[in-house]
Amino acid sequence: MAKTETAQPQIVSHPWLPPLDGGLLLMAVLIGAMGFYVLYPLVLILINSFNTATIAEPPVYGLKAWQEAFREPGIWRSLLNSIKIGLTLQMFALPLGIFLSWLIARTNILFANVFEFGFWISFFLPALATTFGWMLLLDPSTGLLNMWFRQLPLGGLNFDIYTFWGIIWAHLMTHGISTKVMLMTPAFRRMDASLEEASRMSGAGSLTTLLRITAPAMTPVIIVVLLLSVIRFFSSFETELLLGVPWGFYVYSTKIVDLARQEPPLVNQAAALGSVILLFLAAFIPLQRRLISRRQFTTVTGQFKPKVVDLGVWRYPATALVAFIVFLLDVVPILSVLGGSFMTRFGFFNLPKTWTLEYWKMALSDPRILTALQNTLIVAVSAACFGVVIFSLIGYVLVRTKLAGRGILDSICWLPSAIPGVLSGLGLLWMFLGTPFFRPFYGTLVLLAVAAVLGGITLSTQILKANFVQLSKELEEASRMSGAGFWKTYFKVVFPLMAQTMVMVAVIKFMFAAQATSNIILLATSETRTLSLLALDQVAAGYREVASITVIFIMLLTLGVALIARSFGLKVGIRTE
Amino acid sequence: MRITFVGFCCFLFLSLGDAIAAEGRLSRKAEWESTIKAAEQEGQLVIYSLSEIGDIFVNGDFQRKFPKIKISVVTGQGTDLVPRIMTERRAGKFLGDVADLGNTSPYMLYQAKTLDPIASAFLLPEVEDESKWWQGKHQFIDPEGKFIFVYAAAPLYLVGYNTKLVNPMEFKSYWDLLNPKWKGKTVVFDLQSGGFAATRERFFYHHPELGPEFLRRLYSEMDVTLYRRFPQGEDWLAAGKFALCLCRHQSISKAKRQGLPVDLVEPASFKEGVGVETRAKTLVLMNRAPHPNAAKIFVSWFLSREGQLDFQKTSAKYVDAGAEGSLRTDIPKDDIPPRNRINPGIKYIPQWNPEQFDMKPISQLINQVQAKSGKP
Repeated sequence: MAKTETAQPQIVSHPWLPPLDGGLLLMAVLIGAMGFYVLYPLVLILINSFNTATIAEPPVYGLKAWQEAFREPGIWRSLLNSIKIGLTLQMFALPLGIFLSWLIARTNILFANVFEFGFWISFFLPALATTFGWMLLLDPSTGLLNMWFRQLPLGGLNFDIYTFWGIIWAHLMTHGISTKVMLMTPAFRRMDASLEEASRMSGAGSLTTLLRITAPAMTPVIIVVLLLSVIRFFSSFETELLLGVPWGFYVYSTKIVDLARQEPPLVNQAAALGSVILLFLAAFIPLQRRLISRRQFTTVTGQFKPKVVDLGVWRYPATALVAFIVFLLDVVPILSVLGGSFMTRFGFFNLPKTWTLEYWKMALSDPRILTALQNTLIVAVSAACFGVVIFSLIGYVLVRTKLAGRGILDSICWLPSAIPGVLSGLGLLWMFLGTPFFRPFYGTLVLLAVAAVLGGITLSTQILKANFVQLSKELEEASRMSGAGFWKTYFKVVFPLMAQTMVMVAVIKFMFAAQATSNIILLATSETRTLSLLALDQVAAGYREVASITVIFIMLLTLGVALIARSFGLKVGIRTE
Repeated sequence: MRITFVGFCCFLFLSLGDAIAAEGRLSRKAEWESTIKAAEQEGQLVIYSLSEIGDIFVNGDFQRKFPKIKISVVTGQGTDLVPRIMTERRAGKFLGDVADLGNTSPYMLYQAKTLDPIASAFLLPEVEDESKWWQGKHQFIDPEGKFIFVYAAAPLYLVGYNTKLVNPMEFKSYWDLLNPKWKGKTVVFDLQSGGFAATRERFFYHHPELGPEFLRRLYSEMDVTLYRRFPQGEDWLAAGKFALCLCRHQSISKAKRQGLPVDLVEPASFKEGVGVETRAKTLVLMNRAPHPNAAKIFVSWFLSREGQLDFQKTSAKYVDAGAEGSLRTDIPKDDIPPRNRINPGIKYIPQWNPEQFDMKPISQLINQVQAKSGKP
């Protein structure tokens, strides 16, 4: 009898989860599959970092590549520059991102959903177009805004985009703020209003409640978003190439790309430099796990109250502030992209023929565009659908089970973010050609889709994980008590509660896949070329304006998918009163 | 009688010669036709090509003339494609038939012994006949003169200027770029970007009248501003922020066509002579090719008079610099923009000597000079 009593709670506690053996099997499969996908190319990259031969010679192993990589002139200064830029950027972007997410999700500002989508649009816009747009406005001698300022009685006000602070500004205006708002808003929306109400009942104001109740409850998602932003910074280099190189300011990722792209390419040295980011991750992954696991962060319970905070007289100023930021984030890059496609020469308004439709005619009559569009849809839709299923399963297993090996699986999911795109593409090529199972698919869309599913593993799993942490188990247990099994509980309870996050992850994966270049370029041919690769070819042939129209097609495609997915997510997801 | 006998022998000899030549022509023609049949059975031709050139192959007449041989092009930068080809081959995948990868990238393939002598694919006498090509010979990059075939070339334009700020007649020598009045007024396409920038620095570094000293002074005395992405430097030049630009000639020509106040200094006006570059128009034949007959047909047709005429015509549509000039001298060049033409009477200095491909001493020199002047 006693034996029955002790055994019963274990069975009743999670009867819809796979039994112990099944659970271990599931974990083994996940670790095996993800380990293969992630660790195999990574190990190949690391092995190649010890290859001292040139690309034309058979491999010879030694430490020469590492020694030479870290003897590169200015390498340590560039690492310091990366850290300086990364930290300074987050000092501004993170608080601003939290504040804006809170305003959109937790307060009664006007047009909150429209503004949220405005941040999505900013996230979808190419960083290069945004930077070119701000260069046109803030060049110290020819910038349009600076010329306008000079005519005003402002005492010679002049902004210089080619400075440290100019780079910070450009990052804020590209993805620095929008990424955070996009990733954090769904989590803020799942905040239980009763917690905030209790705070206010105790005499705290809205701001104090945000700082002392709401933001701490959002710790998992904030930490994940912060860590993702810092890591992402190690692979960002386009903005610094445009704004830093002219005054001799280089960042670490520029050095990696320089080595991988020079002739002959020094891939092994680039891989050696890339390993530093792995060290960074090795230090931060355990820290992140400890921070998230030491407290309870459940915000969605059976008594969940999806109510928003009434800002009172601050409602309109707060609405104006968010509208102004969305304006800054969206208008400059959109005008930059459109200007690049309709102007004979972007930024030159005094030409004999300033405006033209020539580039649109060229783009629309390009016979390659339809095939590229079709390929893009196949690859991106596969990435979105399979990605959400696979990574939500991983996120759910990591958060909801006590299976051994979760730490390993979690760490594996972090690792791809440490590998710069220029190296991960090579790693995938080595993996696919080195695996007999994949070899027959080489040169087909199948491998492009597989590579695209793998893209953004870290972001997808960590965001889903951070959001699963907010869900109380009692909701699933109540479902189970009502007789629902695993799948019914998942689709009727978990899925609606997580719908907005899942939709967001699907859209992000769609966007990553549609915009992917470096991780798929080595796998594509002219038959499997996607729109983003077509744009690269157009730039290489000197048709930058036509390429910008191809980029517009990618944006429209992503925005269309985002709109459809978002309306679906908002319908089935949590809605505020 | 003796004269008659000698005449008869001459007649017999000439007739025999004609017969042998006719037989040769017939056998070449038969070989050409049998190779076409074999190529059509293979049904495909895989070309690895730089992104900017791939469209010329896909949209050229070859596909229309040989519809049963489907062209498949794998495009990318040389730094992407060489590691890709080597990885494929190490995995036992021999996928490429021919490649057009510019200058230094095919040289890596040559060093890796992945190429066949291209003459093994010359099935047409007009391709073999060296008198039909520039300087009366086939141009090769590799020291053996067998593998990396240069089929087009153009003068090397190095200096762009703002037409409102600079009188191009001031430049008689590249040393004039170091005139103190241009200090802080010159923008330079960074060597790290490769391509044109690498060709430019090689020209300066290895030129006997310029050499390392010229580069040292350019980067130490002139307070130059570097840039990496088109059209940043060209836009600055057009806006008058800088007076001179050591940037890609295609970008300047395009900006000029768009109505911007920029132009190029004619290279012939510099006393140091005119460099001539391949504009990445080289052809190699991969060994262990999966479609060897298709490769032979393509190489032979593409380098023939008809193929090179088509190349000139197609490149006008797909290359921003306009029609590229073939190195075949037996085809008209009327449609080639003057700046892409190799003109008679000018001494050109070819820039495809593999002994000058090593960029290490050049980048080391520039890095040292920049480090001394406080730029990493």
